[in-house]
Amino acid sequence: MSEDVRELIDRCLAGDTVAMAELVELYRGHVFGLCYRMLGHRQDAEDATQETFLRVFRALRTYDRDRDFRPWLLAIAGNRCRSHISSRYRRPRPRRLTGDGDEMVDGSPHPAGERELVEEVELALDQLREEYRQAFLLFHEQQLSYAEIGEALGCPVGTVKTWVHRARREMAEWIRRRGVVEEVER
Amino acid sequence: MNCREWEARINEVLDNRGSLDGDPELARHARECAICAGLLASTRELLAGVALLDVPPCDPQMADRVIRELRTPERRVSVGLYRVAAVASLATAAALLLGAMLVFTAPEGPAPIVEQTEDLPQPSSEGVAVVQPGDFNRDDLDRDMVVKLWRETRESVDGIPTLLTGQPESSGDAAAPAQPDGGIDGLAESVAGSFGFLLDVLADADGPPQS
Repeated sequence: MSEDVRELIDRCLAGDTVAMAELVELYRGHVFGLCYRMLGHRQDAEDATQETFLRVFRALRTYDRDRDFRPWLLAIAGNRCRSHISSRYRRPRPRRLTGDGDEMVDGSPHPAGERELVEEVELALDQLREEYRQAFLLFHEQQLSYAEIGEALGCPVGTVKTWVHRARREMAEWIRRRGVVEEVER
Repeated sequence: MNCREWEARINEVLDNRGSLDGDPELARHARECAICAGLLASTRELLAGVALLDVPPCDPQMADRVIRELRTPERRVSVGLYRVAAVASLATAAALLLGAMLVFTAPEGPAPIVEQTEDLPQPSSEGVAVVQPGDFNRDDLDRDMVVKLWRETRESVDGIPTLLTGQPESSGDAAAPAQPDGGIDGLAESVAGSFGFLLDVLADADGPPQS
């Protein structure tokens, strides 16, 4: 953990709201990215991001300074996302990629072939078990190491590796079954 | 290299964030195995798609939202609190119901017990034994006697049985014998049971019964 982050945490613990705002600004992209990928809904992801930072600030005194901050933060975000997902059993899950401005939006400048690929990857992510998806996203999108993911998810590195491997395999199988490879290569 | 070793090799390369295109062993096996070639191609597409994943921008006011929320007191109502409140409510309701039943049904003091012999068609003062509070014999109290007392009391009060028996106050049937299985009799037996229990408790509180 860098000295800057350590100093920010110290200031947050002293009640400095400017430091809190700086810490949110520094990590909101990481947290929101994970929440958005796990929840597939912008509003839900923002709510989960807000809850994550609230929990972080309320639990900051219990944070072990010897550990990296980002895995700890992302573990809290993952827990918030799982809570959101479990609460969704009582309401319909939002559809993805409808482009209505609220749900997972594809306002990207990608050409049609790439857009289709992105959609298929998102659908493939949807098919995964929660722990597989979280491990895959933390490794491939957030670029965390296996050790950091293991620390974040509270499980051994070997388990994380297995989850990522299975996620990759299942998603690759999905893409092959959907015929994306041929269409993209054409 | 067999297919299992080949897949392990793919995972090893990707775990080290390497490129699938830079490993000649992977390409060689893929040329020989159509299944693994398909897996290699779809894995490439997968990683290309992951790199293209878009995330919309997060709310720029997120820091303000968080700090504003931090300044408001935390609202934490646990499920356990709801459970305690529910149990307390039920207990209170049960206590109130029991108390209301006892207050409504119990006479202010032990009622006189009338012993009537068969050769005396009408009760007279000679056939009446009055038990004063504190000196009654609990063995003389049984449920039938209390039921009898309840019926006599009911017959002497206008309007009380109307609600339970459905008989109008002005019907003049207030003094008619109660139906054996009617609601009022069930209530009377219930009250008698409660009353007998209360008498037992009171007798125990006063000390051993006098013989």
